[in-house]
Amino acid sequence: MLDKLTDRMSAITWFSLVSLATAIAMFALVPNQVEKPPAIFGMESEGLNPEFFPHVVTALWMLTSIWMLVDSFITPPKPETEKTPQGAYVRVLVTLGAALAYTLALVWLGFVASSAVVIIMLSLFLGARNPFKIGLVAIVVPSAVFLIFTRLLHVSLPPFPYQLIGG
Amino acid sequence: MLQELFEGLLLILRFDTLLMTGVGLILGILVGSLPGFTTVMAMAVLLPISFFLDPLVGIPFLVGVYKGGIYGGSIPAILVGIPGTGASVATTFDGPALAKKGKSRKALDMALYASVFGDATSSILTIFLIGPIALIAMRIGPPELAVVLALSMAIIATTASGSLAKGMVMLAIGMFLSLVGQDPIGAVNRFTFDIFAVQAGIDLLPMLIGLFAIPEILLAVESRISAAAKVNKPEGDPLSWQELKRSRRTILRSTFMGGAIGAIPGVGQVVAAFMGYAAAQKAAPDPETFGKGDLDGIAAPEAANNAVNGPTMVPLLTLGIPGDNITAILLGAFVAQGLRPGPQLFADQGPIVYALLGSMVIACLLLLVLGWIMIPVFARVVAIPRAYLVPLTLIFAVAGTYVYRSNPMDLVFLVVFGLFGYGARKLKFDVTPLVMGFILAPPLEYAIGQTLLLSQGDMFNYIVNERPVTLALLALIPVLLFFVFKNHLFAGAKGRPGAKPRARNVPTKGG
Repeated sequence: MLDKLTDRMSAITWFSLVSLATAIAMFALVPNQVEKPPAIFGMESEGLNPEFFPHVVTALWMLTSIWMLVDSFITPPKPETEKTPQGAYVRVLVTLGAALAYTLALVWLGFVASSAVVIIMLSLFLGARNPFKIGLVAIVVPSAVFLIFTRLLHVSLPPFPYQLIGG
Repeated sequence: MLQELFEGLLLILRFDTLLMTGVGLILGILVGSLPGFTTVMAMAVLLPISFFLDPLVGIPFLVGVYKGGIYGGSIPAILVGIPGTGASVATTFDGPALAKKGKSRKALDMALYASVFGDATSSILTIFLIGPIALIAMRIGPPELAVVLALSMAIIATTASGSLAKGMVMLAIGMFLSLVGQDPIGAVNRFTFDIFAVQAGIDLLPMLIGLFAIPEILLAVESRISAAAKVNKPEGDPLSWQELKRSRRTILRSTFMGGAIGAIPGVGQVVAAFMGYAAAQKAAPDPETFGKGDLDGIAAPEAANNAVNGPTMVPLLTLGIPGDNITAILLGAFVAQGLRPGPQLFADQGPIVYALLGSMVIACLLLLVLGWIMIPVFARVVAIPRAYLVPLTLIFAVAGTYVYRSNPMDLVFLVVFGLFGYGARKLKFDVTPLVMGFILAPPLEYAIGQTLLLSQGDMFNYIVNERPVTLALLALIPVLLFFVFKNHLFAGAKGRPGAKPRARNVPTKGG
């Protein structure tokens, strides 16, 4: 019986289990994570209790997670029609790493410099080999975006490396 | 109403609005022309630009991106047989066949004219119908609004691609995320876990960019992308007047079908395009020519998917309910500009609403001109290697999120939602119900709170005795769920659970 169940487990089953566990935890946390409404002149508010909606939502989350869990056992997983290409997850991880590094570097290196570095590294990693085109894209586009945002739209973007402006 | 309409048109006829609508159209067509990059992603990434423009410039700019993107998807669909957006999957049935016959210019022209006609007609109809609908919307109170919001969420979750259970879970997660921060009635903190940065709640912008742009970037890099697509340049003669005239019935039929589908929340362009194509094939005297290079096979899906654009604005502008992820992004733009869509917006700022609706028609006319002039240029865009485009999209996504509030926490949310969105796409979850749950849960809670106060604690008797419309709407929810559930079971029995057409890396919704 248990073997049959484990045979039918799919990624959706695992997702349902994580979703259900989180929903139960959040339901249990409602009394701790929802502040009490202030009593004005010692009178309790007559309106909707701030805990009511969180209880309803987390209960709905639990029920739908159970539904999806059951559904994942009843509906057989479809045969994989789209194979993930070889090395795909490495490329995804590197891109994600670049995105993370960029979010950290944006404030410290400034918009133009950090964008240029990310564009050069990522376009090389993804297969671009023409140095002229890479340089053009890496320098012209961030500079143009910087000018449009700061001069035309009057929005501040981190301008230069942090140390240069005395940070 | 007519006076407000004229006032609105006068507001919109200004150079900067026309210029930015044109810029939006060009950017939309450019992104739509790139296989694997969708209109939703373009709108999410370009949304922050609209925040820093006047509302009558910023929102028309996004409308331009929207319309340009939906049309732009037809270009690679015709030239290389790869749909640029989900909305143009049906265009790949006849587009490449026409390109093989050396008639790609005719196909591109037909796509442009059918798109413009479908879009402009549905937008004009929307302008004239939205006023009376708004008058009805103004008469509804908190109890009715609460039920309409609940009904909308149910429709969106049940019409999401994938299984019904997945749609409902996504909806519940979205509703839960909206709880983080301060509650909409008493402003007490909820689920902040004593983290100061989340006391103001999760902002919609990093969520939208994270869920719609980052996953597409990650999906795009999954395969090696150094080689650009081989493109056939537009070939042959332009479309003749006689050829366009021959397709007039198909275009008209698809326009009305697409318009009707657009008014239903959660259905969207993909379904409209397929229904338009199927109806044209059924009505044709020679249906066997479909799929082998029939111009009606281009006209039908393109008119239908573009005709969806106008009516999707009706639930957004009259009730503040976005029907799909594109209108959810537009809602983000409205809110950032201090405009809260709903009945009150019509009452307070009618001319601005009509001005924005008028900009949709103007965008269609500009699309006709820009599309016609620039078809050869856009055709070359298909061949730009994604090795350059992916890093550029990434910097737009990150910088766009940062400029909004200069809050580093938004970047954290961007990455978290990006990862979640990527996982959801891999597991075939539609994230639209999540976004809708996030947007609609706070007004739902607020409306329930107001209803409770109006009922003076006796909600049951109040609704039964004083709110018959609410009661009727409440009765609709189980009926609707029953029909949807029945359809899902029926589809499952036929071996097509929750069947909706989908192509690789192309979402089933919203282009």
